[in-house]
Amino acid sequence: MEQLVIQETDYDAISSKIACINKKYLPDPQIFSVYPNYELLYNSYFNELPKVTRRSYNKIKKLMSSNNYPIMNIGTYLRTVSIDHVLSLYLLPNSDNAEKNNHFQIINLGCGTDLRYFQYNHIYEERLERYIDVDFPMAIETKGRVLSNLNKKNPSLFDLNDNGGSTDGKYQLMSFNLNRNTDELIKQLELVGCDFSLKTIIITECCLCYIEDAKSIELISKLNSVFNAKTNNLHWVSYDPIGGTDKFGQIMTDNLLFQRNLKLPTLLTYNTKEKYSKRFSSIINSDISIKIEDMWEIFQTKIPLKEKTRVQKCEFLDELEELKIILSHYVILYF
Amino acid sequence: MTDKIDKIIEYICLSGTNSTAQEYTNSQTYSPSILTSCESSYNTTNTNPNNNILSEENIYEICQYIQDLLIQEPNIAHIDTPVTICGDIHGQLHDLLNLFSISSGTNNSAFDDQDETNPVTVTTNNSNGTTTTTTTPINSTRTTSIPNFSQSLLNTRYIFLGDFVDRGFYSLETFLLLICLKIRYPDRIILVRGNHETRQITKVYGFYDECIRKYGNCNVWRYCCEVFDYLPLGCSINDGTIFCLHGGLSPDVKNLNEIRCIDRKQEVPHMGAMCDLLWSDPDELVNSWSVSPRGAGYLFGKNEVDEFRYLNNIDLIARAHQLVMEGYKEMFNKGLVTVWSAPNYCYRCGNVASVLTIDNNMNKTYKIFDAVPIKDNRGNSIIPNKKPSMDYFL
Repeated sequence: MEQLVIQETDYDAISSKIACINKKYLPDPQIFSVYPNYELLYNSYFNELPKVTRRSYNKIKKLMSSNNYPIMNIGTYLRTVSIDHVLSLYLLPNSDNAEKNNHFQIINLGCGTDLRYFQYNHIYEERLERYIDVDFPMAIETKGRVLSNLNKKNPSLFDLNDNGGSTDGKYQLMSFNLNRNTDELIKQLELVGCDFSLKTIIITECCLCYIEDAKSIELISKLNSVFNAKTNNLHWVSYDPIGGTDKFGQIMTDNLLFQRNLKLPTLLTYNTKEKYSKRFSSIINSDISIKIEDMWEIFQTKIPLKEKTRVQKCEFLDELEELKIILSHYVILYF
Repeated sequence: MTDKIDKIIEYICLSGTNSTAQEYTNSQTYSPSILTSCESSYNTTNTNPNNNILSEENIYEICQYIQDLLIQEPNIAHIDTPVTICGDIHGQLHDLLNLFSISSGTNNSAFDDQDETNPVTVTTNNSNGTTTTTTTPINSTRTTSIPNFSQSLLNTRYIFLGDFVDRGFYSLETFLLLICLKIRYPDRIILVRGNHETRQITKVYGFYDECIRKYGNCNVWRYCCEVFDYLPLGCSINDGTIFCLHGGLSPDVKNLNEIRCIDRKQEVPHMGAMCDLLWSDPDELVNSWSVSPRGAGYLFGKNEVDEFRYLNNIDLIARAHQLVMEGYKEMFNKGLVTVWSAPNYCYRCGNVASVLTIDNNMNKTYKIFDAVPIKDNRGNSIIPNKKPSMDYFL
């Protein structure tokens, strides 16, 4: 049951993302210029979904009709582009000649309906060696069926096999409950072709926040040691809410527990940027510098003025104070 | 009409206090229902005539009636002390009922489980001879009985600085309660227009959707929007040394008379004086009129405030419009104050709220209060069951 509650948070994520696409927040022009199929990708996934599971489709539709305040769209936009930009500008600069021959793989833990593989495969092509989407068995099964249906309709856009993975084995969908033993996770990653000596980027987007503290420490430290045993080339991008030092975190905890029985075990533990980043710095090699920014900082300092103006014109935003409060409680960490 | 208005006030209050129907059936001619679980009671097709107190017909009637009342008020309404200035409410009905209890000093009778300790007050003497008092946050509990409005409105008059609707789950009840009170006590309550009291904004920020959800059509939304067009744009207190409005100043308004000659009975325009009064914000970092990040109105600084106060003989500009975590914020040597009256805004921001009381000697008292608990001791929630999720990024 608890698993289902967590899995259903993907409905929130995908409904917000599609709402953002409908309102033209996404894709941002930078992504659009390198991957023009973004809108088509998400819309065709969403349109195919009711043929696989009407229940999920209806739940997402319902969320879309109730969760559509501009403040939510701006937050979803920032969450999406901040991860994309960290990857494209910081971890995988395409222009950098030294990096050009560097091949890499991406592991998205708790991927949900995220379809970044298609975007990155298009942008990085042969540099991307492998892309592994990991989530609960039910989520992966749905995703595999939807993708394989879509592949039959539009093989050029998807290029997948019948299980939803890519024909060349580059893209893998892997069922795994992250609350299980991390050694088991590592074994399974190996089975789907994960290369522990390759430059690797792990993405956890609203994933660690649902995992018990001890379990998440085990996850980070074991993955860190298995990848770093062979090469010092592990990167991590993590997006999560933080409780803050005000009442926000406690209210969020109460609201989500009361409304959905959803638990965020570490929201109040790693409640500041410093503490959230310590979660990693206490484990990984101390030479590596960990960067962390909250979404308000991203909005104020990382989004170019022209793009900011575009975003603010998508809809009429009535309130900035509230936006600041909400956005400063979500962070992106990367190294 | 008076009888009907009183019934509506009572009905909304009972709903807002989440009282169970059984406790009131003996004394009522209609059966009050818990708003959160019984939204169907709004529907006029409901077969139980006792449930139709908030019928479309009744709302139409009230909305027509109050327009006749509001049309007589000038663009800048006037009220005398003692008066309580209230900021944004945003459909948080339960907190509004609490606000009435706290501000009128009748809270002891209206609360159960009230904290026994008296609120600590901090008093400061101002240069102009008046004093400012701030109470420490009052731990709010859900009211369990109907506020005694005739007593509350005898103790103090009220100015509500707009943004009655949107965002919260009870915009309709909040607005109806306020206009019903205005009808019953016309010279003791002033409702000023906020930037959310427009058709365009309510369509995006919840009031429109709420009406559709409760009635299946947009008629009551349309009736309310017509009332919005008649609301005054500001309010002056006593001899005019305190001037209240929702947003802020406008480069098109040097003198108050320029507000008095606006033709206000229209949807708020996208630019110009009327728009600015409802949209502008003060900013300590600007030293002249600047572009507002909200996309409407202006940012203005100390210079603009000082000039406006000097030209119009105003000591204090009281406004709302911006969320303040501490409930209120004084700026520009106390020449301007922001009052915010929606605690735990949108049920998630964690802020306290305040009201500003001005007594007959022009002394200022800020009363700070917390949100009522989302769940009361009977397990009734103020979040509607139909709301599938709070607004978080998950």
